[in-house]
Amino acid sequence: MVEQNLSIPKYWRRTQQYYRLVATRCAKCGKTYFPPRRVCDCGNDALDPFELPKNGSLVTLTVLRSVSVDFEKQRPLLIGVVDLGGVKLMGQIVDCPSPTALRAGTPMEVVFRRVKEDGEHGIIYYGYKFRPVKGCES
Amino acid sequence: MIGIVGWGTYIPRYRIKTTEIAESWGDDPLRIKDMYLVEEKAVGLFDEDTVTMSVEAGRIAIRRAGIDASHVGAIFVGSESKPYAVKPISSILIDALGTSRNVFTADLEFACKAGSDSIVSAMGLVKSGMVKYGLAIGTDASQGEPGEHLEYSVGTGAAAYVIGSNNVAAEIKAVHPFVSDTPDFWRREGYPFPVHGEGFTGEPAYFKHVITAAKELMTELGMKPSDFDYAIFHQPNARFPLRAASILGFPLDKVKDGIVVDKIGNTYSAAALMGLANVLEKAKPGSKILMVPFGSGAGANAFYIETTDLVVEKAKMGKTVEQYLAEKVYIDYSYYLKYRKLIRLH
Ligand SMILES: [Zn+2]
Repeated sequence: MVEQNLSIPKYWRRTQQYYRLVATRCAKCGKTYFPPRRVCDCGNDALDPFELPKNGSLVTLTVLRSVSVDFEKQRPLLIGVVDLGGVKLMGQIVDCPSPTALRAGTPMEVVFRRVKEDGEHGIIYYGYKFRPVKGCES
Repeated sequence: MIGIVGWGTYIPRYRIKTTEIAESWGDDPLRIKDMYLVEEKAVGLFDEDTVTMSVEAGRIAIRRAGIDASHVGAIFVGSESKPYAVKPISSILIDALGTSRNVFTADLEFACKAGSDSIVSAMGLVKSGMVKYGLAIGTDASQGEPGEHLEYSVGTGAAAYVIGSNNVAAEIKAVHPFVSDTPDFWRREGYPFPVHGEGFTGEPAYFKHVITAAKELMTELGMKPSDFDYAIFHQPNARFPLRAASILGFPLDKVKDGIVVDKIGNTYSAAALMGLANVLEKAKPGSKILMVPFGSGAGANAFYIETTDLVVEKAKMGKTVEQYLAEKVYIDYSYYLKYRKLIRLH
């Protein structure tokens, strides 16, 4: 999930990861990492960057009614875990006002959205979220 | 041959019916519908803006182009509703689309016309050989003041075009501009809602510029309306393009596929380009298209476009306007105010 409490430089260093879901894959044992890592568990440090697929399926979700102050006006917040080609990611689910229609296996797609903004004058943080491919009517 | 190698659009999933807005403000819903011929409009969620929609449309356009993002040499974005007054949309696209860093980039503004100016700018760079492919985007998420008539038509969306000279799906054979200083519509810096210039909307602005640009282009080419299979006009509502078509002598069946404002509202810089996408997704090879985007202030670019054999296959390579139109969730006026941030949140 795109982290909420990052400074501008910290966020900026992760734009490849947040904008395009750039992960890394070990050239030796094939293990994949998201967030991307530079050194594999197997000790190899030759990891290749690649973009995770933009389509996947829902693993699980939860509806949050008690949220941090930045998201109070977006309640209820839907947070889900989505499987993108074997990599499981947590993130906000949008464009679905009736989450009861969603279940494990529902096809999901990655969308590019505003994640947070530093008030009216500050920077706007962009990143990935998820939504059901086919709308969310049951 | 220079033209459209790929295209992509983005339309938010939420919709509000114009009758719902009319009822909230005590207007006669049927009169409003008849006045603008806008059934419903697309409403972006609070986390959607011209940056997010450009990314979505751009990704589809690059996929349809069948190129690697690293081959894009220019990105131009036309918009009048940028999230930042100073900080470009186009540079965010570099990282969000994964192009190289050696890309000519700029955001352009000419009310609703700048999306088409992005295409013209990209064409120039491709034609001169300075870049192989250029990405041209028109996008807007403008606001209409609650309770004012503009609110009935202002929509949200983006349309992106990859311009190049290989694997062209639709050749852009000619473009003809017509521009004058006309005070029909403006928005001052720092003010959220635009203002209409009394007596200048309609005839002296939209119709004069759209009709003149179209006529001058046809004269230049020695063509007449019957030579075209489709005509697409800027669409602040559905009445204006229908009337422009009838003034120029295009029958209804040549304009209807290029009109999407009735289902998504006026997407400003994306409006005519959205109509073009819908046409490309339905057109046969060899179709001749007249497209005339317009921007207040005021000006129009008349395009003569002809589809190639690749258009049918490319249409299938990405999400279509028709698919977006079918995927919708209706909301009421209270959600609309919340999603469009028209109520002040502290
Ligand atoms: Zn390894």
